Amino acid sequence: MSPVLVILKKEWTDLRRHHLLMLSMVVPALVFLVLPFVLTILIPLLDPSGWNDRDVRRVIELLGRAEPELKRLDPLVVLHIYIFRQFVLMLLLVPILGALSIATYSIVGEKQNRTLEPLLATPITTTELLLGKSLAAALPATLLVWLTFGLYVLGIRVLSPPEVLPRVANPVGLSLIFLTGPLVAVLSLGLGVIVSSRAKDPRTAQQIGVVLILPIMALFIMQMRGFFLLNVQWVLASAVALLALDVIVLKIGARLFERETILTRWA
Amino acid sequence: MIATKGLTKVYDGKVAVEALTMEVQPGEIFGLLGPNGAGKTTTVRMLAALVAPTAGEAVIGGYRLGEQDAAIRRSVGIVTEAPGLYERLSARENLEVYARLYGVADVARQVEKYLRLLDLWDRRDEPVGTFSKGMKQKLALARALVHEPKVLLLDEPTSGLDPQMTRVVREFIADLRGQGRTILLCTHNLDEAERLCDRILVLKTRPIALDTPEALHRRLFGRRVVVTLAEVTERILERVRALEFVRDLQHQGRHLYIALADPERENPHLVRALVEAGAAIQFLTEEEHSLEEIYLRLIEEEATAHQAEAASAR
Repeated sequence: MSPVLVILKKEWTDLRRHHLLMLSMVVPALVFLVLPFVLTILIPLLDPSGWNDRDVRRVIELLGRAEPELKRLDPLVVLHIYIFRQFVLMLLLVPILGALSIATYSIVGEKQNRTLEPLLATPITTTELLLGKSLAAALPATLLVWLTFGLYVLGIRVLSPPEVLPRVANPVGLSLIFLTGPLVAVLSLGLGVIVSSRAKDPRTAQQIGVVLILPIMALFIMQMRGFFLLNVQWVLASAVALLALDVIVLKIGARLFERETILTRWA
Repeated sequence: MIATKGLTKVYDGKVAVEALTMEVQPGEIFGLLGPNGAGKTTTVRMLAALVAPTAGEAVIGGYRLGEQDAAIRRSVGIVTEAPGLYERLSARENLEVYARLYGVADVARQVEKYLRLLDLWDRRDEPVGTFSKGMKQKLALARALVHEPKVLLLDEPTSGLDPQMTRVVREFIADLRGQGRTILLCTHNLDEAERLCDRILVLKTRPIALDTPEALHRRLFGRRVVVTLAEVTERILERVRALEFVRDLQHQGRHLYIALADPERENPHLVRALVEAGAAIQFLTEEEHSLEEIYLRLIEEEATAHQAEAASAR
């Protein structure tokens, strides 16, 4: 078995038994999965004029301008489309939080338990070790967001008017989940590796997550206030930028991930 | 099996190990002693190809450090000061991870062999987090051996263990010598070093002394016999002083402390002289010093030499 696979298997066995860590990944996914459905049901029920809110009207108008065919739809259907599209953006927090939690726990946890020295004394190369740990963090985080999106799509299909799904699982939504999702997971784990080299406990290391969460939140709020609408060009441009950032961050992480540096400087 | 020449490690301008030259023979248990911060762990890390030396060279298990590091890692087993085990994984899973990383051919057989040998087989599927410190240390030993290394580097293997477990681990280490493995043992426990080590190196950044405990004893304290008499008289003392082979004589109560160059040859003459002087000999033994006394004397001498060196530099 290749050393990368040995590390991957070890990390996942450990992860499966770390219930708190699993929970910290699954809970945000569940919240972002359920919340939009709750909103689409509750807003019209509790406050029939709520979806006539100025901001909502502005976004609906913006949506209508960007996609004139939406003007022909029932405003409640457009509200559904608006909410579900907004939460596709929020689903990007799932790979960020997941990859960051696993990466920081995996590295800081090894530091705390002093398991790195015997591990580094084996013939494994530091590239193999970093690759094993990175895959162990990025794959479950990415799979989790894909699974969540799958359930999201299923929920929309079952609970929303039929016009909603094709307008949520559209090229923008799909590229956000299947292209931006893995890229932010890699960026998150890369930052996790860098911060973990200095942090003494996983929670401190995870504070770096704010750096990644803030841009997503900013996009969420800007789109909610109707300042702009994400389109495929935006998503692709951001994917290119993310890819460049991923390369830079992984290179820095790989430089920190040297036997001697790990043993002598990762205090 | 291990040979170093002028091995030196400097971290950010601070010398951790300086000019370490030593040779460890195959099948030998070699003790590395020294106070905290003396460079013992750095030495182990260099020999395990974990950190690169700043200067000097080393050959471990036939492989040259800095050129054949992967081969060195394959032929060395290491027990670090902390067991460093994956607590949520079982004993078996922990060993399997390492056996695979070391490229062991028959993982299951090797893992079973060492779990049985170290009496952990019955608890093989329990998470290591539930193990006692002694069991964890035994598992760390099993991990170091699972790929059958020729060289073992043990950094404080009995640190923090209760006396019973300390004994079990020590006996296991002694058994390993019988299997022809070369062992470098770093320890603060001088009793342990005395029981296990064939030779010792006292390190305080620089090597201070390297020899067998017996040779160091002779070098530092010379050889003295202790004779216990029923009564010590002036006539007896004069008679002993008159013996040309007696280098020094001290007495305390009924005990005579007599320094000799070659007790095996001179003791019969000494006994005859004592009897002729009317002494009633109750006991005669060679004076012994523990490794602790040897170690403390060496450290003391080094500190004095260091002070003198500093004073002359001023």
